Amino acid sequence: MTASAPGLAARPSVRFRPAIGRSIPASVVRLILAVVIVFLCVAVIGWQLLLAVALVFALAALAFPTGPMAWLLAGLLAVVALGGYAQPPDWRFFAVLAGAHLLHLAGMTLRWLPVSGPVQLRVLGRILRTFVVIQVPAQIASLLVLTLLAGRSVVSTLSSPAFGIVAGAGLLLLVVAVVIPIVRGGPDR
Amino acid sequence: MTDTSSGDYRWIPSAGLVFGLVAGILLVGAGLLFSRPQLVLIAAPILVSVIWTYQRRPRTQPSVSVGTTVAARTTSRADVAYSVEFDVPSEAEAIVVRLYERGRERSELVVDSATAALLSGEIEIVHSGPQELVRVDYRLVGPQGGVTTAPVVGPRSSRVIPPRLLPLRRLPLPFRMFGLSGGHDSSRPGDGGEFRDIGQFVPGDRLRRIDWKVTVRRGQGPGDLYVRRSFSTADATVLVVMDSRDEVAQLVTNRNSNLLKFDSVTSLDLAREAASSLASAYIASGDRVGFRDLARSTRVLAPAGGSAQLHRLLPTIAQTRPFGAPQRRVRPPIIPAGALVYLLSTFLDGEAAKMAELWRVAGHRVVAVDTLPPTTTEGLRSEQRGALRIVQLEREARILALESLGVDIIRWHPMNRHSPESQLAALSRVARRRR
Repeated sequence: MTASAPGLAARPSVRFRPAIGRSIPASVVRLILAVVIVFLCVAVIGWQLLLAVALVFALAALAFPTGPMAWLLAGLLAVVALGGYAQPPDWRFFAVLAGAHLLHLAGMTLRWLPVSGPVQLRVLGRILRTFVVIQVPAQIASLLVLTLLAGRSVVSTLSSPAFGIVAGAGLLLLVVAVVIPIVRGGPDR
Repeated sequence: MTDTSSGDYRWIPSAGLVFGLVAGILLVGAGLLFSRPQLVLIAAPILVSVIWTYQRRPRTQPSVSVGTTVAARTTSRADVAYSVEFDVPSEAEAIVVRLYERGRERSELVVDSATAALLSGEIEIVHSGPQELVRVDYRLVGPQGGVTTAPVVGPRSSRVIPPRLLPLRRLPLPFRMFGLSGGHDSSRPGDGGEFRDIGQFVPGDRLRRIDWKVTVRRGQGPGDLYVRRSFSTADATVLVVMDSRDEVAQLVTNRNSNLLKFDSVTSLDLAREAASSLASAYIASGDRVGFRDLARSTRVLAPAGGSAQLHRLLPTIAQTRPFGAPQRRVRPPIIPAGALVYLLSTFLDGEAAKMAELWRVAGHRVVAVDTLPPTTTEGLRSEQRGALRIVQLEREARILALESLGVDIIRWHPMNRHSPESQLAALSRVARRRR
């Protein structure tokens, strides 16, 4: 037992929390995510009735991060951002391409992120770095694919037997390689 | 002193992985079904992220050790410095640390494993006595939050904080003092004290006590010798009786709480400070000091003197705290003959006052030390204010009754108009022979 004697008079509260370097409050992280998601919803959907549904999903995703609302919102935005069959992609598609990925990461992160308290920027930086590493090639590939497909019959390309076999095999591989091990491991809650 | 905990914990895949996978597959399926490559392209980063996260999941079970070291004051601003050390596997991308510090709200930090290797902070200490200073719970997060461990309860650092010692110079003494040596004058003839009188030499008197001038002046025959006689010295026996049955705070609305979440001084803080200061001061002046807790009969130290006794007294006093339901006493604890009794209590009930009354009637000098801190009535409703007023009046009546019986009263609080030291100095001037 080694500690000095306490002073008896009430003293002003002085806070000496552990120094963790550059950090940002978790509440600010949540606020930034909320602003980005709401902005994305308004930009992609516009001022129509569907926006209310999207905002409810967004609110639920932020308030109850253990649920699947973030991914439901990503699906909704993906459907809304669809253009015409043979039209070149507009900016909304690329926004949703990044937004859906961001919603996926937000849904994963908000599960363990505390409501308040500092979050080290280095931790957020790692998540964002992975986001960028995956997102940049995805944006470039999407631009190339959709530009190449623009003006052609997408229906004939995608409904050919060869494409169906390749897509089916890819799905099967995905299920065997990822889905079964994850389901065996079990979700956290 | 380091408190550690370690263990192996299982990585649990996040449900977010499953949701991401299902959403990606549904989007791909819908894209194929409705010939919409846009949906496949939107699903691609999600699926890649899921697969990337799953493939990078930690393969080994984490082993975490946390050490909390509470050291003595390191800066002039805080009382206790602590450090928390995590030794976590490299796969852990983040650690959510939940920190419970004494006197503060719970706080949570999210740090990476390199930063978590050493977290250090400082906390202020308001209360003395046994208390939990720091507690650390944590949760490990794998890549992208795709896998996590369940929240883990980490080590708790509990310490006994010694009370502050007030310097007390002049102290009251018992009505009668026993013993043949000590630092105080006795009324009996003997050695060591001040001059008493001149008397005829009797066998047993020391030759160096012969006063030759008086012998020459008064001696009426050969062999008549006169000696200078002196008082003997004696030590005082002091018994510090602490009433630790309850611990009340300044804020009345906190008095029903059994948690020390209040940041103001409590009655037991004052009692510990008073008991330790009195014990140190009396031991320093060569007296014998004993200790007794009214709440627990096992917490008893018989009166003794010397630094060894002080080293027994101070930890015993520091560890005093309310324990279980207070038991009602049939008769008061036995007090050594001629002892000065300090009774430290809030006097919120009649138990301690009854003890003081019985000891006073038995002839002991009793000093009742009121350790109730100044009352703060913030947040009280009018009926609660009325109830508090009744309790206060009953308490004052008890203290007045004790005073009328000859019990000395001291209000022990640093913010009091008269400091404890000045009140004790005033009592030290009261004649010892008062009955």
